[in-house]
Amino acid sequence: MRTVDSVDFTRKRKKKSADRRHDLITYICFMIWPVLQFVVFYIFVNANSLLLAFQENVSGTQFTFASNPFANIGLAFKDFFGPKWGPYLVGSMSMFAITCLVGTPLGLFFSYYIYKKLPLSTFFRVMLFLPSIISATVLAIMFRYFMNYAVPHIVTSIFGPGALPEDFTGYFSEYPFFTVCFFNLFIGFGTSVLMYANTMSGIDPSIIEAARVDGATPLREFFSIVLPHVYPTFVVFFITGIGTMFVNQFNVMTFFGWEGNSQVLIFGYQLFARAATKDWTEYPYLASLGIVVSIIVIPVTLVLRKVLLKYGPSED
Amino acid sequence: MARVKTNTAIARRHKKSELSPFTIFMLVVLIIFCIMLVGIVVWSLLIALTGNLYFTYNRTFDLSNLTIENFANIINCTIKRTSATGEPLSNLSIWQVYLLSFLYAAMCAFTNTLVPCLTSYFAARYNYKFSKIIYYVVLIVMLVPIIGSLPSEIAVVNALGLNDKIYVLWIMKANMLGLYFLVFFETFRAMPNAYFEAAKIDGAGNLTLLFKIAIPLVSQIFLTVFLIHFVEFWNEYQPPMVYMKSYPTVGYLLFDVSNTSKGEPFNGIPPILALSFFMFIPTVILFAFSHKRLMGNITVGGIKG
Repeated sequence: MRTVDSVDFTRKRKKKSADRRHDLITYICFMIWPVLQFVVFYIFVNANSLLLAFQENVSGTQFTFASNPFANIGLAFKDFFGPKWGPYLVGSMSMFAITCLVGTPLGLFFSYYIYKKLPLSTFFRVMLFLPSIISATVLAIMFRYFMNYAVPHIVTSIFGPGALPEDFTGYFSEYPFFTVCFFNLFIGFGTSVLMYANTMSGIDPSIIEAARVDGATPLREFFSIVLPHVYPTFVVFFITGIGTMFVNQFNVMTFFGWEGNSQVLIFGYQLFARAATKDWTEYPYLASLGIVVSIIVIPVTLVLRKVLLKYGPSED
Repeated sequence: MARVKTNTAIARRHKKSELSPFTIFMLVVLIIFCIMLVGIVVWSLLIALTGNLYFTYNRTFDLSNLTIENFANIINCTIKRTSATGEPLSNLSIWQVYLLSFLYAAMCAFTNTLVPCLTSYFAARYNYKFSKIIYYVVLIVMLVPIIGSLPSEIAVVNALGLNDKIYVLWIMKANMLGLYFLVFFETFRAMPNAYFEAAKIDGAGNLTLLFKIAIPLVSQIFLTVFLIHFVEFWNEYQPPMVYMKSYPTVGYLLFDVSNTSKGEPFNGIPPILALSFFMFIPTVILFAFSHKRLMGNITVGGIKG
């Protein structure tokens, strides 16, 4: 009997060991691709970006370590805070600030409207999300021509032909920064409104009911109950926005193509446009610039996230 | 009966109290938003249906003189692609460009959904230390923004000989990173062990567990993530512009013709707006059929099944 048990035990152990081996083989087979992809297109790309910053272009796509390896980084630091990149920084920060100051409150109010299921809220939910589905290129083209041709036509039909100067070339052509800004606000509600509204739906109805009994107005209800509840979601959006502020092209490439530089000065656009033209001699400098921005943005993002979550409004 | 009446009256009173000046202001802003959005699309459609010559002189449309000539010209045109040095790259019809766009969007969406799904399954269900490392790597990459790696990425793609290959972006998008890894991870981790144990007793191997139990259980999430990615890739033009110039997508073509002079049939605003509708229609149709899936399932924590 004992021998049978022992044979059984050995068989079970062998099976378990074979199962474990099979598990490990399957695991390795399925993990090879994602790990390899990550190593090549994330680790190696970023490591290469770091190395590029200390190199110089010899010929074609060939790079070698520069005699002064810190020259690119030094130049990038100097340029980043100097007049060369300063206007682009200001442009990106202004665009982000306007989006935050105008877009975020409006997005929150819209979400509140949808959450409260007020008249036509289902319809508005679809309409606000629609620009996220339509290509930004399509909307940008339509918007550009609409601002240049349709809006002046409407203005002159209402206020008479004298309402606009004779050499008026259209709102988009005359005020590119503000129209691009307006466009970014216009198409930017979709996902954020949905997420805010979905987060709001998690509020306990009895809290709202109690506030109503105490005579709270919708505005009071919004600021005292709803806003603290969606604050963590707001922090996620804000931190993501800060983190991507200097890569965000704010649709300048979509609107102006390769001529965006002379119209609206945006850091992310400039960085992308110069890299996409594949001028290899520029790459060490652009890589250095990327490192400089990362050095500044990474700690700012992490610290800001911690501060915002610590000192933000509480539901209590 | 009287109780129902009282409840209805209370609900009506609540609804009425919610219509404050604040909410009325919101209603007005939202109506203006909708009018603008619909107005822009309708105006663009009318211009796309206006003869190029008529628009050049009048800068508006004529309802009694609408034509489909811009759409017909696009359908019949050949898109000639040349390199920066002027060498011919490819001659394509609009349908071939459409097919390329579809292939690009579908394949990128598929690889960009499949890889996080499979990786998260193994990370969630196989209790190795490496699984934990994978999980934290995805989290850290999401939290730490690295800027300006495009030059290096282009150099790496070039060095690997992948530049201007139709599959370059399928490979680049086949990564485990991003929010959807976490969504799949949490779903797989929350799956009851009983399913897997029972199947194991019946003799199921690792692949059977994966393809016959786990994947069918996340099929709805998989489809939702795939659709979200499909729309995103259908709409983008920059990666094809940088990495696959010989295989233009509709997005890239539209960007190109709207920013550079491309000759007939894209000279003028009505043909460009007509081309916009070629790009616009598939996503709107997709949205019409799946808007509940696309919109209803998004929360900040991920996606509901």
